[in-house]
Amino acid sequence: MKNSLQSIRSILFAVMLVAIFMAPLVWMLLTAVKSPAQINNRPKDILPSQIVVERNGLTEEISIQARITGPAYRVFDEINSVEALIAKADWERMEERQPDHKLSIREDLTEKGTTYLLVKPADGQGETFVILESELGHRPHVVLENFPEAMEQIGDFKRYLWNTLFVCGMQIIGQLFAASCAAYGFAVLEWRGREKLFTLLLATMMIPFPVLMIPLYDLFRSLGWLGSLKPLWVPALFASAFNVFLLRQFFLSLPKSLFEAARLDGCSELRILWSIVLPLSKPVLTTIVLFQFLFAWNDFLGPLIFLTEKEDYTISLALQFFQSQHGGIDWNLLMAASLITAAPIIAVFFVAQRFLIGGIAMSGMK
Amino acid sequence: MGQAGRPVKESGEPEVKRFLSSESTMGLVFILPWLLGFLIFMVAPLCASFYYAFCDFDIVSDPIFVGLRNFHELTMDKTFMKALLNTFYFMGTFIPMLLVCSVLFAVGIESCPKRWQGFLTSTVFFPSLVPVVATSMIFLLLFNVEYGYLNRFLGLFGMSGIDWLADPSFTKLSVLIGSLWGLGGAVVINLAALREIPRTLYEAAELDGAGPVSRFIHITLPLLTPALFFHITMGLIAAIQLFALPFILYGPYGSTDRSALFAIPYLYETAFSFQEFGYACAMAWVLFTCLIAINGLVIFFIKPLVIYERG
Repeated sequence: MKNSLQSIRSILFAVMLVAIFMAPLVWMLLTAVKSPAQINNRPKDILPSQIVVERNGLTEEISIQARITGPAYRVFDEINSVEALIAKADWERMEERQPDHKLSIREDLTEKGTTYLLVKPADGQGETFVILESELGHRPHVVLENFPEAMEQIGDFKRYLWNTLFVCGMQIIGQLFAASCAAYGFAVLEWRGREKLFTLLLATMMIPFPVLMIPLYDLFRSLGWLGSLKPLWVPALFASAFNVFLLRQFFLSLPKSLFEAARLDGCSELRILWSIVLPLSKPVLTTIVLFQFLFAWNDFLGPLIFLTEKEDYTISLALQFFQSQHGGIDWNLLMAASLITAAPIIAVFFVAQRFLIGGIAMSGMK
Repeated sequence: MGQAGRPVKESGEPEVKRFLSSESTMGLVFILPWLLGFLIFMVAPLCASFYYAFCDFDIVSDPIFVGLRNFHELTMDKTFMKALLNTFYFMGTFIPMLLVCSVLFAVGIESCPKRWQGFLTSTVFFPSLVPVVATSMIFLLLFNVEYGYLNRFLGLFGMSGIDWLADPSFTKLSVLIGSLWGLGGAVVINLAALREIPRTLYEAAELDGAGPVSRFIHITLPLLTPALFFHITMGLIAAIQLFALPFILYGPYGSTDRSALFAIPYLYETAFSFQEFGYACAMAWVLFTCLIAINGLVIFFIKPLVIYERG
């Protein structure tokens, strides 16, 4: 009894967790593959589908022009030359008050309580016609063309991708070398003032970027780096506090005898780092590569401030620019573009979540 | 620990050579890749930004020293005050929610069958990695009156439609919801801390007749305090730097009535749209000072409550 109660509770909890954290992503995915017609006409739909009707033995995609519950007339509006539906009661009232109206009856929809739809073939070609709501069918319809379309509309997508990958790559290479060296200096070598400087390093993690960004902008401007990608990767050639911290924690866990033995053999410190310590540190180095990749890929404020030319944009910035231009209309394209932006992160997550989760857990344990 | 430098042996070598080969120099050389970056891209900008805070500065021409004028203007700038209050409001709601939710989720995951735990952890953790711009787009969609499912979900409970993105009483809540969606990192840290708690403690408490609630309050929660303290510190920094989500959801203006205007978007607007770089630096320093002060309060009042197992 107690066990089954426990498992019901677990199931409820798991369902709730998945609903909270996955639903927004599922919603993004479903929206990204909807047709423009569905986005425009049926915002309430959940699944990507098209509405169809069986006519003359063919299944035809249609769009709904109007909906009315009978009795009603299908009328033709001569002024706008469009067809419309009108309730019989309204028709009679109009006959009375505006006898000069330009509507003519095309069809008598007599059945009381039945809902009629005025529809048109979805491609916009052909006549409108009336069907019963019960005749309406839904068919799953996934529009993968939204993805190339979104890439097309976002601008020079290949260029933005290359820019982002370049910045990611440079940052990763820079951090691997710089942070390893610095962490070795903080963990293995013993020198006066080491602990004090390390405390200072930890304290720098508290400095918010916005305090620095205006002088940095000024600095990059006077160096002539605005209008290039340099502001995003050159500073990353110097070790970041977080990476030094992660690596130092790992180096401290290595046995001291290792270094002493190597020194007795006449190894220089650089050689110890390169041929003994680093090969042992592959897991933590992997974690650093992943975190740096995520950081560089996801960064928004840096590119927003420092990238002045559109051709230098990173993916994140290009996505935001796209939204500010097209936002609120083409939800399918916006979500397709967002999914493309998130795709590499999803891939990295599936391949390497062990390292990511391990790295986060480690950073929380000072 | 600390004063570790080995005494250098007297061997009659020249001063310089001894200095170069000493471990002290070696240490400095090795940390140079951090130290140089620290000096060039942190210390120097920090000093410059402090100086600019007292200047009239439009980037193009040289800064003109104006004393405390920027700070004086800030105290009279209603928009800044609003942005600052909104930021504190966010901080004051985000951090408690972060703590409560991350503990509940972690304890919940821990109580599920072992074979589900990996999947559930990944589920909670993944959203925290999604690029913030993409996250903002997702919430732009979710909060949309027509296209979002949030209102329809609330409709099930008989609540009428909320215009999340325009109604001033809901805009800050939207930012809070969007930010909390990325709390996975905190859950992962809590889970790691939970797994460190020795089983024997729970067994002993159970033998003493402690119920699950009592065990949670007297064992789990105290042993989670180091992790919680870490979340508070990190949450403060994250909250004061809140930028991309409100900026994308509400634009630089911060929605109707500036109800979703936060400090950094306002700072960004001041500097990069209005070219008031000195004024923006003054803003940055006010924020930084607030951060340090709040952090000080946290260290003074909350840190004594943290229970560290080993010393």
